[in-house]
Amino acid sequence: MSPLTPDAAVSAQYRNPFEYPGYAGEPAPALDCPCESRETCDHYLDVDSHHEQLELFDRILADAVAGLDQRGLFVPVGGPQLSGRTSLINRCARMVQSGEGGPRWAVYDLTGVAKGSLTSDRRLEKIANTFLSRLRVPSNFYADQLQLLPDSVTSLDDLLESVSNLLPTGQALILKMPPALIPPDIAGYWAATKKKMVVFAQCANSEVSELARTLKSDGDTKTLYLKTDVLRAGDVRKLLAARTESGGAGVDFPEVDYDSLLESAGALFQTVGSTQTFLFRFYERYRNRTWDPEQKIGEAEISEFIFEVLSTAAQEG
Amino acid sequence: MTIGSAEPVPPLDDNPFPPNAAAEVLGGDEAVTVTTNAVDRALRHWRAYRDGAGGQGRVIALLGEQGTGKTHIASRILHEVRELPGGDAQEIYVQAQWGGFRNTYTGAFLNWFRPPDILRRLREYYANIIADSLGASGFPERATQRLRDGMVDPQRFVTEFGLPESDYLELLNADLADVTRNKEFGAAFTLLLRGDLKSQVAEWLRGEDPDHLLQERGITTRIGTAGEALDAMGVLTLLYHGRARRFVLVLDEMDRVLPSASPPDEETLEAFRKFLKLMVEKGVFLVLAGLPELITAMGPVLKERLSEEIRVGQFTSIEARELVELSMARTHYGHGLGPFSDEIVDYIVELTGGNARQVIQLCHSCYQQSRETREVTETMVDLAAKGKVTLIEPAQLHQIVQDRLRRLGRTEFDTGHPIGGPNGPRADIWIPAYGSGVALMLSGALVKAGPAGALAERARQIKAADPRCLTLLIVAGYVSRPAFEALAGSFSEGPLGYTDDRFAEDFAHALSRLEQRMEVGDVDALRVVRTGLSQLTIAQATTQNFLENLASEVRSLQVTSGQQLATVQRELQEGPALPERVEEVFRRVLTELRDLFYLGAALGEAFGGEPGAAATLLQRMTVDADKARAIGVAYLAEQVIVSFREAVLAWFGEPPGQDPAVRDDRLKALCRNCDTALEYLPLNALNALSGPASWSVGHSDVLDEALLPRRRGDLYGLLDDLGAHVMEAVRAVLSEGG
Repeated sequence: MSPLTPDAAVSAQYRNPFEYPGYAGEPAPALDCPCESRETCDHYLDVDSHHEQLELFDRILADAVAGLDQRGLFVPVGGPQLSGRTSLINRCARMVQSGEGGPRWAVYDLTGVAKGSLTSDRRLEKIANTFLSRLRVPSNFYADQLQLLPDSVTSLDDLLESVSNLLPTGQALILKMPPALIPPDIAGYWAATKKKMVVFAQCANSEVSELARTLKSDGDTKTLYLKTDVLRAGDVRKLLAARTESGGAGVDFPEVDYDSLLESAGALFQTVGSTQTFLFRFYERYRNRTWDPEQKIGEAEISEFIFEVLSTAAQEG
Repeated sequence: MTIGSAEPVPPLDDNPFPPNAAAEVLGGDEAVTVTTNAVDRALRHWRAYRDGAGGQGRVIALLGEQGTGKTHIASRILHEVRELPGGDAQEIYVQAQWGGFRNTYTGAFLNWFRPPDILRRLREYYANIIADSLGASGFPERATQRLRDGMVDPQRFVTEFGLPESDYLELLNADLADVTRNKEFGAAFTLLLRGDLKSQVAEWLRGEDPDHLLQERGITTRIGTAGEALDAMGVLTLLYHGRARRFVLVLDEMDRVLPSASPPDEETLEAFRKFLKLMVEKGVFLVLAGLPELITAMGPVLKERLSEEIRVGQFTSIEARELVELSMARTHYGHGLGPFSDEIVDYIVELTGGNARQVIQLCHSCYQQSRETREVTETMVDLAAKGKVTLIEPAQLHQIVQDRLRRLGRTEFDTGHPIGGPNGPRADIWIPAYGSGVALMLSGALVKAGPAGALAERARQIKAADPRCLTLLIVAGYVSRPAFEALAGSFSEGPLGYTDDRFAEDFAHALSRLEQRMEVGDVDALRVVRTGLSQLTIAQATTQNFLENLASEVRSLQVTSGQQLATVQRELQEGPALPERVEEVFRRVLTELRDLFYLGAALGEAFGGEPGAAATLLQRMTVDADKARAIGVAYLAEQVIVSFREAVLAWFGEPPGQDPAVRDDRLKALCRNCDTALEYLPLNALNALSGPASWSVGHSDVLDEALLPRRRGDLYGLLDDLGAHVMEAVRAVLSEGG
């Protein structure tokens, strides 16, 4: 079978509906998001059976935000890599921002800071100084108040304490911290959380459990815990439908033998991220038109595709 | 016969008996094997494991006195392992180190595991973890097999499919935690796989304290105890095991890990129990070889898992005859006993008590002596026992022991000291210790019972004169069975045999053992002595490592030595040069050293001379193991000096403007390094190059008499203080404004 040329009209509108956060710098298409500001909640995929629990969490989160003038809010989000922790944090942050009658928010995404092999103290120090430099951007609506901050700091805890004290009433911060690589990181984030700020951080589920056991909310900080997990049976079909239906014009996902797909590649559909990765590549392969568009894609094609991907991971040397 | 005559050149050395009679574990399979009962039982066990369905491992113990052939049996098994189809079997051979399992782990076991190799094995292990996990979820078998076969990079696989790496690393962690109670290995290997902190993890695996970065990641304890070392050996063995269906681990000279004066502590026994359990459960064929004391000390723990306890005994006359016949079959004699006779073989067995190593050593020498006459006589056997197996003369031994004591910081010893009063019996060397001490007696080879009995009597007199003292006999050479029996019970422990390569280590440990047995009333004093001796042990371990590393470096140097020398020579002629005064120091020592051994010119001339001259020259050089070894040591020394010279040259070439104090410190460090390196070289081996021309060929006109060895005394003086001489020369040059 010779490759077919993509239809020019389709090409112009083409967008892979399984793009995932970070892919080519593009956000993934919006999906079935339960939060009110659905149009701005880019990444969260509600295929989780904990939907009701999430609604409950939303209410608790809203209550906690209402008390930010008295104590800060720390939200560790646990789960495997690519299980949607970033999406979940984005969703929650959007939700916090959209609350009526709340403070005026500034959001700082520090997730890419200090990724190297550092001691926890050094990592927290780097995060603090990166945050400090971003605070100094003149366009900040509260930049004037923060002029009293030092040129550099050695402690995230001290910096956030100062910021918290300098922030005028009615203004608050959302901080998205880098993923905690080791337990002292998450403890450091918790200790640095102060009133007038909501701090989100990713970590492993086991660390969330450990935190829930050891770090109790106290007078300065309230802690809310979230966990994501692997996908369950049925989630993949739901994700497939959601993406292809809401992915926008130009989505012509092929007819796939779903049972064969699950049988051959089900082991790879572990998280939202791994499922999206697979389907993204699968769709790209389909777009190359080496498969007969009239034919239902079955076990042979799926297997062929898996081995193509395997060949890209071949051992070197 | 002279080179240049028309007569045929005699065949090169076809002596089938290896001169040192030590099993070549990692080399080829050239040794003759007599199928004794022990060999037969060990091989049957291995083959049953090899041919079995797999799964369960086995533990066999090879127990016997020194030189009975335990290592040889292990090498037979390893040879069969290597003959199996590729990838189906793996093997590790480890010679245990004095001082316990930790020293064995750091000093020998880890030599199999260079960091890149650990990472490679780890990735294989990790690939299997991923394949197992995916396979359990119905992933196509053909695809998981690619992971298992090493065709797919597990980390790229995880990335390409967007899989949660952290989950798989947790699986790896849990799997490793399952095989060792120490969770820190899982954490360390996870960091290695991620590419983080490789050097810190490598240092930690070498037994260093965990770096602060590692401590934050849950690795807080050093691999410092026997239990932790056994854990590490277990987990690394599993990594190495990988996908191989069969895996053989040989731990040789296991008695070395035992404490000398007390049974192993509970923690060590428990760790060893766990190690054995792991090996059996994970399908490893474990061979433990050592002295019979091993079973005494470790018996209850060993027997829980032991498949077979094999006692490796002495050769009977029949077995010795088989050895000779098999060996002769490899020579021009062919079938039969060759120059040996039944009576001679019986006599050799009588003298050696059937000790395999000693039988082979005597046979080697006798075969050599009988080249012309083609008949081995009793006189030759006696001569072999007395002379050939004697490594050095008693006077040299005296000097070496004193030198060892000085290097160990025991400068308070005395020679010819009367014990128990002015007219008391005298030890050759007396090491005082708190009112008593250790009496050393030194001897050459002991073949007959008479001289051995005289030594035993002297030891008894010394003991009678000072009942608290301990006695040790050091023998530079062969001890026959009758002589051994005549000595029995007279000294505080069995005679310590001198060998060039192990004496320093053996001597320090013998002193350590004696100290532990010494009945000293003053507790503080005892502690002082213990501390000193434990430092000796550490020093020995360090030395061993140092030499091994040095040997490794020199092996790599050998590859490029030609270019290095050429570079040096070129630099001498045209490139940057050292100031003449400094160069003179190097020139003198290198000239002395090369005069002693340098073969290039001789070989060059030999090749340019008569047919067969080069072959004859090589034959003369290698016919004697001591001389061949001396050449190796001299070569090693030369490489150290050449490297030192290059470093000094680079020091002179450094750009101006640097802090003089810093430069001076750097020069001092270079000089210290050189002196330390030379100090650790067994330079006394160069003695073998003294005396009559070592490899001259009679009156051959192809060899220049000027190349023959001389001036050894001058050389030792130059080598001893080379760093200081160079330092002095450099300072003189600098003070002159050079």
